[in-house]
Amino acid sequence: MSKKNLNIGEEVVPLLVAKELTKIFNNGVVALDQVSLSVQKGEFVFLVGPSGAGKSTFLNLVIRREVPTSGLIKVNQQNIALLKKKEIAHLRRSIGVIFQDYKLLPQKTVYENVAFALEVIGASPKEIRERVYNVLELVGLLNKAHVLPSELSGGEQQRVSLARALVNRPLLLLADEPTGNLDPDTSWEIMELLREINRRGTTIVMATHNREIVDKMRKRVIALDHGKLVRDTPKGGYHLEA
Amino acid sequence: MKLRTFFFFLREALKGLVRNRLMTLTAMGIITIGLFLFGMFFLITANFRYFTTLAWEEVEIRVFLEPAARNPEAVGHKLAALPGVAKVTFISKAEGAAALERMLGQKNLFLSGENPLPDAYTLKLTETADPKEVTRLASDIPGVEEVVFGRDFVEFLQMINHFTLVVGLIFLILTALAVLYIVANTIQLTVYARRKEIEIMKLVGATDSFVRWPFLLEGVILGLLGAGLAVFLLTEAYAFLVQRLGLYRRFLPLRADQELKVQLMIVLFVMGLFFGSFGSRISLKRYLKV
Ligand SMILES: Nc1ncnc2c1ncn2[C@@H]1O[C@H](COP(=O)(O)OP(=O)(O)OP(=O)(O)O)[C@@H](O)[C@H]1O
Ligand SMILES: [Mg+2]
Repeated sequence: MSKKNLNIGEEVVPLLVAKELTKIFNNGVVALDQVSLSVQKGEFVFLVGPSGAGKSTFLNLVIRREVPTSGLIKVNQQNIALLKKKEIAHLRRSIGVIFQDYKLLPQKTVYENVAFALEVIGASPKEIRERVYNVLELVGLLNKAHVLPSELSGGEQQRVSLARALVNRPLLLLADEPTGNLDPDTSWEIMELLREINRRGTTIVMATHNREIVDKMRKRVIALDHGKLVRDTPKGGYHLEA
Repeated sequence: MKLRTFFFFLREALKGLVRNRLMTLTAMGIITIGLFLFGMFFLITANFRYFTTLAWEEVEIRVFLEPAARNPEAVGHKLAALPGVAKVTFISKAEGAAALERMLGQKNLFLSGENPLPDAYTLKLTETADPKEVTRLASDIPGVEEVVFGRDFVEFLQMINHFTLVVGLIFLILTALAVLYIVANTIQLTVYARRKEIEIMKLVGATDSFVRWPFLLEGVILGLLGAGLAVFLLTEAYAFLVQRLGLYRRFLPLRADQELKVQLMIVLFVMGLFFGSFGSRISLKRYLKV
């Protein structure tokens, strides 16, 4: 503790903080129940738990797709619930999200889908070209740049959505079951990419059901069940080891 | 806004229009039909107003002078100075007699010495004049014996005039609202078809106005195209009508002036612009809440 305090400044301030975060939907479902946690810059965190545990809801609260019923959620010291419309847009630019259903635009090519995230924030054409080709190279899709998503495999589409999440150079990457529909080999390709991105300094929060991956990666594991935080272990596995 | 950004929006808008061809044509067709109807009411109203002004020009007030009036010219000046009087014409007793003889088809109605008709003036009124007021003021002028005007006809005209104004306005407003409603709903369909795109834009950090611009431009382009088409169809149809009814123009005079055409174009293009932009704005509202 004292050692950390000597290390003054940014290291001490968490990137993501939730305090007694609660989300009750209009239909009465308690998706999150008094969840408190904090994530430091540079961490890689798995968010695990059975279906309906509230993992996606948590990620949606971080990007302000949902508003908390009570409690607090902060990204980079900003209270997400208090943001104005413009600030929400800016928050989302600093967070990359990989959606489980990819959310790619079917009429746009791979290149255009990724470039879209930069056009939206008004980057210059030169910058867009450079960054898009860079990130497509990173995810190994340079040769498919001008292909439509419908002509890609599931793993390739997942990588497009990863490329789009990364192209803004986000502080924080949220991944909602990025290996959900993929075979084990392809899943590991994606995980290797995420590990590499994390090594380069991006904080990652990944919701998953994939026990094998969680067990092998030995990263911090936060488990939710029926909306409650039931476990938070550094370098843990999918289940509590006996 | 940077020019580059504007062109990005314009490109996105054009892409959207081309990609959703069927929707584009439908929306444009509906705007055209709506504006055509609107323009039709506009022309009908304009022509009604035109008939009534033409009829108004026929309205005359007759002012008969006292037989002993010493200075008819002075009365004439006073009449000309009344508010609402456009033109004053002197009709001497001899001219009055001649007119009467022509009307009755009889010559030498009176012997020249015994012409019982008084000297008179006829007054033409301006468009905004109130004939009753003019009559009252004219009767007060010394030397005036009697003032006569077709009270019933004037009142009828005034009534028609108010009626067309009110009915015309109501019709114009109703068609405008109906068109706005239909256009907003049609654009709503194109927006609905692209709700996923809107959601993704918002999730990667686009501001509302950024999302709105291409749709706004689409709406504006649709509105202007629809207006252009409506103007073309209406002016052609109207020119045809004017030509066909040319024979009857004594009974049914139609306005065929350039000014009306320009007014029609301005009104329809402004409406098209308004419908397109406002319609897309209303339809987007719901989908921006991501
Ligand atoms: N928009 C919503 N309206 C009402 N209830 C919702 C809504 N979104 C989620 N829920 C409910 O909240 C609970 C948590 O859902 P959530 O999607 O966060 O679970 P999850 O942990 O992501 O599950 P999975 O692993 O299946 O993706 C579920 O019971 C779900 O039915
Ligand atoms: Mg989920």
